[in-house]
Amino acid sequence: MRLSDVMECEVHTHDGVSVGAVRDVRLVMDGPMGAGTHAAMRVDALIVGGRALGGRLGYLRGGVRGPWLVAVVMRRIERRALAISAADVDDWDVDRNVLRLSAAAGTPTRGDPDS
Amino acid sequence: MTSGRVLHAALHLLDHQLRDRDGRLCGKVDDLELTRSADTGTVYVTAILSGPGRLLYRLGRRRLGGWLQQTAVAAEVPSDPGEGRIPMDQIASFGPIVQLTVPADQLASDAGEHWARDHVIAHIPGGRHHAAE
Repeated sequence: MRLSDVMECEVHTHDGVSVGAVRDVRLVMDGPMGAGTHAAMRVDALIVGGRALGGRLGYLRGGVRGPWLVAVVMRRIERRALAISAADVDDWDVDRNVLRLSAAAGTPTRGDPDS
Repeated sequence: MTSGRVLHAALHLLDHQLRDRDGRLCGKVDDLELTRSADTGTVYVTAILSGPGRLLYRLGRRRLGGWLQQTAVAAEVPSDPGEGRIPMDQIASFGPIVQLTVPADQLASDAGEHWARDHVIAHIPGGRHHAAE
């Protein structure tokens, strides 16, 4: 499976309701140490929904704060984005461009995708 | 809350510069290989994908990307059995530049440059000798 496959996917709830398209993937370097010098990089969450522009410019997740007016606009554009834990994904069906959430995950609610 | 370093793949990794162990620039991060653990279900990044065809695949030109990857990499970098796959244990650090622990000659990410040198530049009159320093 490739990152580009995942980023073409749409996330569906267990009932088949679309949550949104994958815009980015949050990675955390806290996995087991391999043969290299760093911890394994784990897929922690999928950033879903919203628009890609603000995220790619670093306003949403990259720590970019200014100019303040642009930051306000970008945050408003991205307000519909949400982070879905990768642990909640039950089926990574990248061949059909669908990531299906587990029944236990329920329906994700909007929140701060940085959290 | 997570304890390790947090990166966003599209923002912090894709299209970032690769640099080999000798400081030579040797391509860009075109894609990432993800592998799901059979035991825990956790998905890990297991390799950086770089080289001819990888970017085309990411941009949706999958057949052309696959053909270019097989043709160019197989012809130019026989020492790279991974066809543009750089395992995580060959990566020293992540940042604006992704530092590798291997020389560029062993990487398929350099294959495009090799192909252009041998098949295009070499056929231009005067293109077979080194530039004056």
